[in-house]
Amino acid sequence: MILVAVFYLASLSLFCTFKPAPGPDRRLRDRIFDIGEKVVRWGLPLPVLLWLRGQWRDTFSAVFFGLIWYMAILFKAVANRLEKRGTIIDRLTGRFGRLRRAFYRFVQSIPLLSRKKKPFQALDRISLSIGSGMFGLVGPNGAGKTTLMRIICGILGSSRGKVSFNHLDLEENREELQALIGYLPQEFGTYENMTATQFLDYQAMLKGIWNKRERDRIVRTALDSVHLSENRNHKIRTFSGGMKQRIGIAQTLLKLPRVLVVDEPTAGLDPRERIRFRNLLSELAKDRIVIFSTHIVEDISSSCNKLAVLLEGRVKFVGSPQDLIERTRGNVWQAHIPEGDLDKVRRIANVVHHMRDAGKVRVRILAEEQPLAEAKQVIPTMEDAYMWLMGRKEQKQGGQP
Amino acid sequence: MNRIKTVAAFLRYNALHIFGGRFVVFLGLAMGLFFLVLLIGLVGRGGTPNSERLYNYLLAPGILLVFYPSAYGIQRDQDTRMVETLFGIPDYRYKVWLTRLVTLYIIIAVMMFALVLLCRITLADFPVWRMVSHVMMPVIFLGSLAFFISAQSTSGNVTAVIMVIFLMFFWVLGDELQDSSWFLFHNPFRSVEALRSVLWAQTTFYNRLYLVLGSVVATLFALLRLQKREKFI
Repeated sequence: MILVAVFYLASLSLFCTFKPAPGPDRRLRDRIFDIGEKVVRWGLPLPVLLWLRGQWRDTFSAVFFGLIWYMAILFKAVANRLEKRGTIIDRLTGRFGRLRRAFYRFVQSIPLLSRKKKPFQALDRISLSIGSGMFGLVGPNGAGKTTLMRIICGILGSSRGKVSFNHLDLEENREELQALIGYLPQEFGTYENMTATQFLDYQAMLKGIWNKRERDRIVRTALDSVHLSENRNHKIRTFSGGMKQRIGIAQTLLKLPRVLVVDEPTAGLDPRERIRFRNLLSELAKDRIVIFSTHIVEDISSSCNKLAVLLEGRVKFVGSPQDLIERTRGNVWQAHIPEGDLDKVRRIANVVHHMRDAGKVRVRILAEEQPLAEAKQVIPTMEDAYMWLMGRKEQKQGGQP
Repeated sequence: MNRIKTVAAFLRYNALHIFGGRFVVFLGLAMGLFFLVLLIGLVGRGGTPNSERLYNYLLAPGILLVFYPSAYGIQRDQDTRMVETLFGIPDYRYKVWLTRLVTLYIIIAVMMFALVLLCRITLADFPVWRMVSHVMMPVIFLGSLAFFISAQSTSGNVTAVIMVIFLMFFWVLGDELQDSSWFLFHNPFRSVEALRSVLWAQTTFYNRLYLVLGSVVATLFALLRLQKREKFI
C-alpha cells in the first residue's frame, strides 16, 4: 500500500518538476505536459487498482479503495481550481448554485486543501508605551484595534516587532505572562447549558482558584458587581444579550490580573450598565493597566487618562483626551441655517451634527477657517476631536471631508 | 475533602460541556445500542454470549460515546465563541482540552464497567477489569485520533468524515487484517487453538502497544497544535 502511494506521488512529482513555466512561446509543450499530468493523475490509479484487486482477491475492497482515491483526486482538483480562479463561494449563483456552494465549502474545509489565507497587514509600525491607569484605544472598524489587543494578550503572534511587559518579551514568555494578563474579547461566548454560578465557578477553577470557600466568595462578588445575583441559578441560555455581556464582564473580575485588556465591553449594554461598568474599570485601573477599546468616544473621554487613535493599522494620535481636544480648538464652528440650505452646507463643509431648532437647523461644522459668515467658534468636544482627526485623514486621501 | 469536592465539581462541569448538555441523551443512546446488540446476539445466535462476543458488543457504545465529544469538542468551543476566552487561561491546553478528553475516557470506562458488571451478574462470569481495560484501548485510540484530526482541521464535520472512512477501512478489510497486530478491532478474547494461543497473546500485546503509542502521539500532537492559537481564531 505504501509502495503504491510512493509510486503514484513520485510519478506526479516527476511531471510537476519537469513542467516548464508557462509562457507564450511554450504553449504546445505546456499542453503536452498538462495532458501527461492529467493522464498520470487520473489514469494511473486504474491499473494500480486492478493490480490490487488481483493481490487482495477482493473486488469490493479494491472498488472501495479506488472510490476513496478518486474522491481525493477530485477534491484536490476542485480545490486547485477554486484557488486558481479566486472563486468567492458565497457569491456563486446559477444552476445548482446551492449544491455547488455546499460542495465547494465541504472541499475547502478539508485539511491541506483549504485555501491559504492571503497575508494581510493589519498593523503598521505601532509603538506604544502603556503605564498604569486606563488606556483607551479608539478607531473605526477595521483599524486594527482587536488585532493589537490580541497581540498584547498573546492570542496572536506578531510577524515583526515585539511586546514587552517590564522588559519581558511576550513572544518568549507567552505562557508565563498569560497569568498576568486578563482578556475580555469583543465576541465572547458562554456555555449556555450552565447556570451563571456554574459557569463562573468553572472559570474560577480554570483560573487557578481551587479553594472552594474563596471561589464561592469571588463568584458571589463578581455576580454582585454586574447585578446578576438574582439570576445566579438560571441557565445562561435564558439570559438576554446584555445579561450575557455582563456574565463575560463578571468572568474578568474573577481573578484580577496586572494587565486587563477589554475589547469593546460596553457594546450592547444599556446606558446605566455602561456607566457602571466604565466606573468599575476606572476603579480597577488604580493599581493596574487597563486597556480599553471602544467605538463610543464618550466612554474614553470620561474614563481614560491616555488614549491612542488607530486608523488603518497605524497610530494617528497618542496622548491625553485633553490633548486631542486641544488639537481641535479653533476648528469647531456652530451656525443656525435655514432648513433648505442644509444640503448645500453639507456639500461645502464637514458637518458633524445637525439639529432642527425653532424653524432653523443648528449645524456643527469642522473647518480650519470660518465656513459660513454666521458661524461661530465653539468649545470642541471629544467627539469633535475624533471626527477632526478622521476627517483630516480623508482629506489627505482626496475624499470628501 | 475540599479538594475532592473541587475535583468532582471540575469533572462535573467538564462532563456538562463535553456532551453539549446532552449527556443523558448520549448515555441513553449508548446503553440502548448495547442492549439492542446484546438482544440481537442472544436471540439471533442463541445462548449466552462469550467474552469474545461481549467485547464486540461493547465496542459499539464505546465508539458512539467517544466519537461526538472528541470530534466536535474544539469546533463547539469555536461556535460558542469561547475559544478566545479559553486561550487567555494559563496552561489552557491541559486544563481545558486534555482534562475534557480524560474526563470523557473516565465516563466511558465507568459505563463499560457498569455494563460488564451487569452482564457478569445476569449472564456469565466475565472478567470485568480485563474486559473494560481491553475495550478502552481502541476507544481511547479513536478518541485521541478524532481529537488530533479535529485539532488539525478545526472542523467537526471534516473529522467525522475522515473518521468514518478510517473505520470503514478496517471494517472492509476486517477479514484480511484480523490476524494482524495492526487491526484496530483486534479481539483479545477470540477463541484460538492452543497452538496459536502464544502467538495470539503476542499479537494482542503488539496491538495494544500500537494503540497506546498511537493515542499518546495523537494527543500530544493535538495539544501541540492547540498551542498555535492563530489557527483557531
